Amino acid sequence: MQLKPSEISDLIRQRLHSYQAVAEARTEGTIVSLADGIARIYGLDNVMQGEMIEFPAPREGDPVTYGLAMNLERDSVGSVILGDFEHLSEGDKALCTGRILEVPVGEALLGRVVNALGHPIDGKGPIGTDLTAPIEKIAPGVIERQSVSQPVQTGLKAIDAMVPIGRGQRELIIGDRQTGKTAVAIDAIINQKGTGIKCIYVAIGQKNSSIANVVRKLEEHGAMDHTIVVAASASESAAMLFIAPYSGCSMGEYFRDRGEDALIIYDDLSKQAVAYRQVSLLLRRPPGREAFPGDVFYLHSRLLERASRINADEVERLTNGAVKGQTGSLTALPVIETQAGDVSAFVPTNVISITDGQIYLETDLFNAGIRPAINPGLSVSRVGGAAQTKIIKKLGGGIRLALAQYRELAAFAQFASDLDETTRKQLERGQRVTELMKQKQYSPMSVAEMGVSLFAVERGYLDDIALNRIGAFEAGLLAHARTHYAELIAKINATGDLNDEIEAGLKKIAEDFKANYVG
Amino acid sequence: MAETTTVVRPAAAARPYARAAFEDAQATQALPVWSDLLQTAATITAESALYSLLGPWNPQLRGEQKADLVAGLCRDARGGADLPEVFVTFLRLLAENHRLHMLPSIAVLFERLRAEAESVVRAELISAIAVTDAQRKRVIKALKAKFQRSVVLDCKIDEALVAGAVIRVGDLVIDGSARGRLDKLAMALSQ
Repeated sequence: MQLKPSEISDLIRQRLHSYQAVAEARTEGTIVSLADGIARIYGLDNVMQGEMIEFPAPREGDPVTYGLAMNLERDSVGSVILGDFEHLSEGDKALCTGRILEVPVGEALLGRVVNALGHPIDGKGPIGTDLTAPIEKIAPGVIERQSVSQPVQTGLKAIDAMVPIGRGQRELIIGDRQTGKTAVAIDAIINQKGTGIKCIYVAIGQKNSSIANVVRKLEEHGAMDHTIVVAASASESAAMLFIAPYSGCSMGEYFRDRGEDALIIYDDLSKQAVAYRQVSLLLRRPPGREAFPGDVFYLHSRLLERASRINADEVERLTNGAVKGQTGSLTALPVIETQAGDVSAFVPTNVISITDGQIYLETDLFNAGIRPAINPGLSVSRVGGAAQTKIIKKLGGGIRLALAQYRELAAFAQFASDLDETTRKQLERGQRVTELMKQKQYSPMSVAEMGVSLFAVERGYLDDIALNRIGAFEAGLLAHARTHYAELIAKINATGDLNDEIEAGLKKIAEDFKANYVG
Repeated sequence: MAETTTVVRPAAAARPYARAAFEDAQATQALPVWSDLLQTAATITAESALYSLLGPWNPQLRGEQKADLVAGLCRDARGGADLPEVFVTFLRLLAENHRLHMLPSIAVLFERLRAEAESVVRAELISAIAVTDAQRKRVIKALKAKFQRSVVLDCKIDEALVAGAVIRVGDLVIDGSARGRLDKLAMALSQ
């Protein structure tokens, strides 16, 4: 950015005009001990819980260092320092700011990569927004809410057909390492392109290289324009990892409160819990199960409770009447990493109980080539059914059942040499459905495409196709539908309905394609 | 920074002793005497040579020997006047419980309790140049109105402030110095 000298002097003049010299009253304390990013401060009698505390800057002219008051004790205040703390020392001054930690919010953040404090880290210059919001807010109450009734399409057949997600829902993505949890989340973001749903991807405790990869992939698929990436990488202090989800949530709430829809991904909350455990132990809070502090449930419940759908009245009230007749929603996809498939560990059970369902990803399925590696038996969506599009609901209803029957029979069938006709059919249907549920990464499908695929398997058009040809058949079928029945596809995508006319159209597509299919 | 203040962070264990001493002094209406005695004892104990001698870490002296040592020095510091019996007992008790080295903390907490009871605030006025009596009175009057308490004002001079003054009351700092304003201006321009 080049500035002309005259512009600089203008800028200085402007700042001088807006500067007001008044005697300033402040509350001052002194750092009495400092270790591992935790400062114990003597004084600050009137500090609030969660208030920002100002510490000296590393060098003159640098931005000041902030801390967060977390433990208010009789004689001292325990505070975590956000960011670097090497320049601080015992005896340094600490000031009350009278403000709860705030982050910038607004449309200007879209397409940007920011840290947990909302400062840009993508080298694209400052963020053009004056709006800020506190990172900790109370979730909307019962009166302000509306039940979930609109879908969030992830573009993944397996999810949209079996564990549908509604706008305002919290759906957990859980699984071991390397089972494709992030891949599911990224696909969901990519599929929101053009839908108006704004996305926030909060990376907690990940490698910087992984975060860079995610950002690059999003850019490649044109998904960065509607996405904010909040990055708290593994190299940052535990305090930053701990606050990152709350920062991201506040950025998402901005859209929710203006009658828009937003999707937030917390990748992942296990690392946030670990960071919070570190901070808590350093603050000498008593450890509980797995050495987590007593309020680790509240840590996640207060965060996920903020993902919600609010009614039109509330949107109108929040926007002072500027937006009328529109509901707002914030959908959350928290990610939890399990250790060796143990979902009964402390943090996974907590988050499972908080969310409205989970997508359970399994290593065995992943290694068997079933990707996304969704376990259809353990994955549920408790509210999404109400939000599913009609066509997917009607055509995908049999998928879960077919897979459940298949699982039951599959183990048993290994020992049986000759099976009766019904059993054999169920097995074959199950195998075909499993095969059809496979989907490549970064290739989300539209509702109509899913409808065509599901229709084909539901009505038995795949029954005589060899198992290893299912993928190719589907690709061919979809290409055929796109080229020859573009009108119908557009119609389904627009309405999401399944009536006799559309059903006849789908039938025609399948029969048409199959007639010319040579295998 | 130009401002320098020594902050004594009172030890938590000193609290019950300070409260006991305060309540006894209040009951016998001997607050100023106790205040004075504790200040003297605290100054003596804070002396580095004595501090290492008096702590529970020194096994060479018995408890009562340490107490007598402090009592003797207090007596000398007060020009040989006899100490109240109860104060000597207080020192003995401290020695017995290995808390003699906490006398500075006890004195700080005692003063705090006393200020609370007598509704007095202690304020510190740090100015670039010496303040006149009239200015002092004005500051005291303003602080009195703000805190609804009587004010004891300590004045200090710090040339690094350039001009103006800083008033410090406990944690609250009212910064009306040129230094503070320049710092703020620098911040406003750089951000």
